[in-house]
Amino acid sequence: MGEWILQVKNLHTYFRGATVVKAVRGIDLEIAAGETLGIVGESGSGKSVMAQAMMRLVQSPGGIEKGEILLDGEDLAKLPEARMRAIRGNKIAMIFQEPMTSLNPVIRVGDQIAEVVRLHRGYSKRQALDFAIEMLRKVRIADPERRAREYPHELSGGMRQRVMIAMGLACNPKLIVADEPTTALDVTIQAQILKLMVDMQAETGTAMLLITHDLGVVAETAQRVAVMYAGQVVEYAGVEELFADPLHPYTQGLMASVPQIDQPRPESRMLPAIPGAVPSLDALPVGCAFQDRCPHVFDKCRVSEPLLKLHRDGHSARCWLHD
Amino acid sequence: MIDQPKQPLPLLQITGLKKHFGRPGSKAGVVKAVDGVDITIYRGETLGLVGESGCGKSTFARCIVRLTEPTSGNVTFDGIDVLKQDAPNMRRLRKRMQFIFQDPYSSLNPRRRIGQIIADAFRVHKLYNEQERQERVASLLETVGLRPEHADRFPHQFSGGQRQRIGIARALALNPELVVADEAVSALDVSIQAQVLNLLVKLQHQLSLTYVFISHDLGVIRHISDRIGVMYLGRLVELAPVDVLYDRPLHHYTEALLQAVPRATRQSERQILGGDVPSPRNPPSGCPFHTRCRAKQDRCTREVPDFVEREPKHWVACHFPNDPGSGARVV
Repeated sequence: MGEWILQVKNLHTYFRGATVVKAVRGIDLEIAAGETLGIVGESGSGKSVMAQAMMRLVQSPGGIEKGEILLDGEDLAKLPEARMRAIRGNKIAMIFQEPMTSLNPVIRVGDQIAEVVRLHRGYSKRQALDFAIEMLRKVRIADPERRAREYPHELSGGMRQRVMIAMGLACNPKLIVADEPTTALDVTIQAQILKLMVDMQAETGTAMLLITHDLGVVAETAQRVAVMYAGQVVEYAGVEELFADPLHPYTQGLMASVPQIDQPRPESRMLPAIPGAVPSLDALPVGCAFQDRCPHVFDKCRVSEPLLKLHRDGHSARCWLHD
Repeated sequence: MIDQPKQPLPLLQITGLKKHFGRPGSKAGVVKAVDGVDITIYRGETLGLVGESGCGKSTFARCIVRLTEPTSGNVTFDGIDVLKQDAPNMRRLRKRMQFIFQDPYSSLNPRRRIGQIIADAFRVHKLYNEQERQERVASLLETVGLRPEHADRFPHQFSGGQRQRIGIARALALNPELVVADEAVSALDVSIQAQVLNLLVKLQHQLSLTYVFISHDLGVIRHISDRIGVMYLGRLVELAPVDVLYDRPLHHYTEALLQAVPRATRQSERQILGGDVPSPRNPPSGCPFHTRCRAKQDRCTREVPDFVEREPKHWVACHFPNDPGSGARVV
């Protein structure tokens, strides 16, 4: 067990307002050094709230209800905020979807990277700026001395995301949480950034939690995948195993509803869509959360909630069909 | 549609279409968003347009229905010169050509009920009495998979997928012949996206619609389109029937674009296109793609390649295209 960089145990994150929105409902996962764990899910699956919970960034009225987030054995869920601030950006870093909104528009990008090591490593101003230029070179930005003096709006979307990656890696963190890091990018730029992330990870041995709605992105970067639905992990498997033999009807439906790029479309031109929509997280049905959209639903699904059960080596699913 | 008649009937003929933003000689310069596009769109087909940010696909779409006034060129819709119509005639013509927008959140007025939003089209064109309008709204809502009682609700009471269905109902209200859909399913989750794509296919069969479907998603474009145009820096660089384009792309940009899509099944190491798309404010000389092209030669930096029919129905703008016989494999 000592090999895990991160272990999440029974994590619950709720938003308490007029109703209780159960965004994350009991998640268990773990990541080893150098590994990428992909988290796949659609809007409302709880994947981004889970990422925010790991960074302890869930906004009020939301909060971690219960559970543990063990980073190197230390439970982040219970740390005082002051101690958490020393960990964020240092031992655990985050890369967001839209670099334009997560970079400060009025500070030069070199200074933004430098700030990280001045804060966490106590570098001098000069040292920190040299380091920032070195990081820009590492993420393959041409002419890093000049780019370091530029503001975020002077960079292209792809370059801004490279800056975010440089910032994330600045303190050589144990874990990077990347929330839809390439979703806002064009497909040729996405390919560049995904390659950069894989290369940098191989070089540094950082563990990565990669959150995405795109099954293709997961297939090309992750070693293991957790599929989320309505605040829970419904399937958990090695990436090849998951694509070869998905067990949960939601995973199967999700894969089938993606239009195929490498095959002619079906004669009927109809996609096997999943009917209906995700249930509201403040009024979940009794039993399985996927019951109303599931083609295989039977009596038991409507009365009792399935558990995430291990079916074969490293492959678990939350479904009564496979009980 | 899959079975095209032997002699496809042109619905929309576009020649030399340009849209330049900005004043020539001004400090900011001129952005050539669309820089000379020729294409004919046939009745009953779905023409897909694909390309990355800034390639001009959305500006092109807006120009062909005159939501944006083109700088120059010709657009002929069913024999009518679209760009020469005065306002009343244009209003009449708009009944026949409708638009579906990307963002169902910002294209519906949040303070008006769905029934009012859809019935606006009837009011503008002075069609039907109040009773008939309500019946027509109810029937349109059912056509797109919603319920008649939804007419009394406001946009915020619907999910993203439902809002896009409302956008479709509004586009269909006046029985158009042409529907231009600009990234109409891009904001939706895949399970909902599949539902909306199925609806669009069903409606095309039922109502004999012609679609111009714009998307950056190469899977969606393959699924929905009969023919596909690939745009780069304001120009059409390749145009072909759907399976021909995906199986044997002639343009090196198309090939790189297809390879760039992340996928679960990949046989070989992909080549990754380097660099960014150049600014349309200051496009490269010669072929606009030469700065990123793996097959670049001297000539490409000097001469803009003509858009020519290299194979039957397969057009490409490239001095040194892929050999169509070699069957360039993408994955």
